[in-house]
Amino acid sequence: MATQLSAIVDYINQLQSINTDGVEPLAHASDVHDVFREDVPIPSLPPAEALANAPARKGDYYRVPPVFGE
Amino acid sequence: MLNLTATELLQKQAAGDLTAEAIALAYLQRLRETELRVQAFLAVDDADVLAQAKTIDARRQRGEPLGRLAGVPVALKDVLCVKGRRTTCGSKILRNFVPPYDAHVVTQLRAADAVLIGKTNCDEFAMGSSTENSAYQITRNPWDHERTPGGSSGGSAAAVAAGQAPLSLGTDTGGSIRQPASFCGIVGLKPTYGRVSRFGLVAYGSSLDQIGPFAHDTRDTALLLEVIAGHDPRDSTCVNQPVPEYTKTLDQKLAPLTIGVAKEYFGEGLDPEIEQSVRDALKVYERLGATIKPIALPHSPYSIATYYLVATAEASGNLARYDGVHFGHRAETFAGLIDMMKKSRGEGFGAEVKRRIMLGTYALSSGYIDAYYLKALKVRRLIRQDFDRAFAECDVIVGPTSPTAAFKIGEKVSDPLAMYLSDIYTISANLAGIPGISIPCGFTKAGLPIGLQILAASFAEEKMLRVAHMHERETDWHTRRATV
Repeated sequence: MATQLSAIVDYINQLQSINTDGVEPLAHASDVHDVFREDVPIPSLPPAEALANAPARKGDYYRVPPVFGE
Repeated sequence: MLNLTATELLQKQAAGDLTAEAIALAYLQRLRETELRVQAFLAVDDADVLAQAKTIDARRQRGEPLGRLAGVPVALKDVLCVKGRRTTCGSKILRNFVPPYDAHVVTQLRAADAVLIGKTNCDEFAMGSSTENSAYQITRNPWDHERTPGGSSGGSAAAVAAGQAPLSLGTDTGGSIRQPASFCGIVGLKPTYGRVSRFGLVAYGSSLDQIGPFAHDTRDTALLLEVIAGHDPRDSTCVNQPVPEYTKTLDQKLAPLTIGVAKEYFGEGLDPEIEQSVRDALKVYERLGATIKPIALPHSPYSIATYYLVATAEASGNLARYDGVHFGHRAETFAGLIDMMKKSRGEGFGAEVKRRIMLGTYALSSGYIDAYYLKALKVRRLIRQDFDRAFAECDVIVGPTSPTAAFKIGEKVSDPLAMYLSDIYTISANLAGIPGISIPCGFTKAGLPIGLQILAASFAEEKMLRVAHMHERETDWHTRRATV
């Protein structure tokens, strides 16, 4: 995989040859910016549905290995 | 029945000559007869499909009003969430993921009374150009089983080409609808960025991803686009603009019509047989009175390099959520939290996904972000400006969809860069956010389909479909069917 990644990075380096002085970056091509909605509560998933895909749970919580003091 | 278009299936049901149940039974039977050879589907639930169809028939009998796709089977790429139905993205990491909600396009299909026939195979997280990167199976091209159907929406394209479904949905981040449409001899359309809501589409490259239709002809394509397009507040990039009635204006020829032809799309690497078919298609348009105008897209040679920085950077963020905590695969044995995340990701992701996460992480990393990610975003603007200038001079840009016809299974798997290059003509449309369509325009001597790509300005799908339809009316390539 290292060889493949090197080949891809070499290929991508061709961008360095393009003059982009003064060009604004284009993060996405949509004309829509800063879309807000009213700050009102809307229904969300009930806990049982939200947790249905959890790999491990305890009651209404996701269960993970200890984060501190391993 | 299986050679009918969706439009014809709707007419025959309205006339009382066919029922939704009979249609569902015929497609399910065809699916069972061909699936061992094609391997297009990851999941089909016959009982559920028949139940949906019977409900439509019962409602029709009661005289209830029915939706635009009543009783028409539609297959879904397995990156689209269907409530209560496993959605894997072709990845082991989501082997057991069952979404708690429907994607917006699925809600639209249900409202139109379509019959959801099943989930189709794809490259893992839509990363690939051949559908070989699926963790589950290799889909075969219905025209030649030794060859790929293209990708990443190869299952959805192969399903329509093999007559397993009259319509399907795919997603296109760099060509993943148009390239498989071209390889499979059908129509595939990538809408303008923001035309179709991405809510419930599992994210790959969020500023590039769009959902779009596959069909046998432009009328069915227009119909399915009409059903899925439109505003949805749950996707903040989805634009609040009325959806034109594409099917109503499809027959109107565009006159005058100026077709832009970019020399960059006819360079080194283009198979002479593909070039000949595309030149023949341009002659069809000339006969219809179109003006062919040379245009320049000087930055298009840089589109692949730009894409593999932008898409991978976005992917590295989007795929960070697969950490074994909230959903998806969790490793069985690990030592502590970080090790759990590492092992879960290491076991769950395939090689191409790992390659792209590493590349994207590198492009965004401190010390490299200016040279890679930001540089790519600047070149992205130059690519967009090329198109803005071009569309000031022409209505549409016409060229080949892919430089070659369908390649052989295994041919490019060990050389990712060679695989990426098969998207050279499609990828810049995603960077620029413009719509594109691939329509059948011929066959190679070996009998493989050839696709013609038509690109248009943002939100000019109506014009693009009309131009595509002009070619379709003069030719019969779209009526050819694969013998599976």
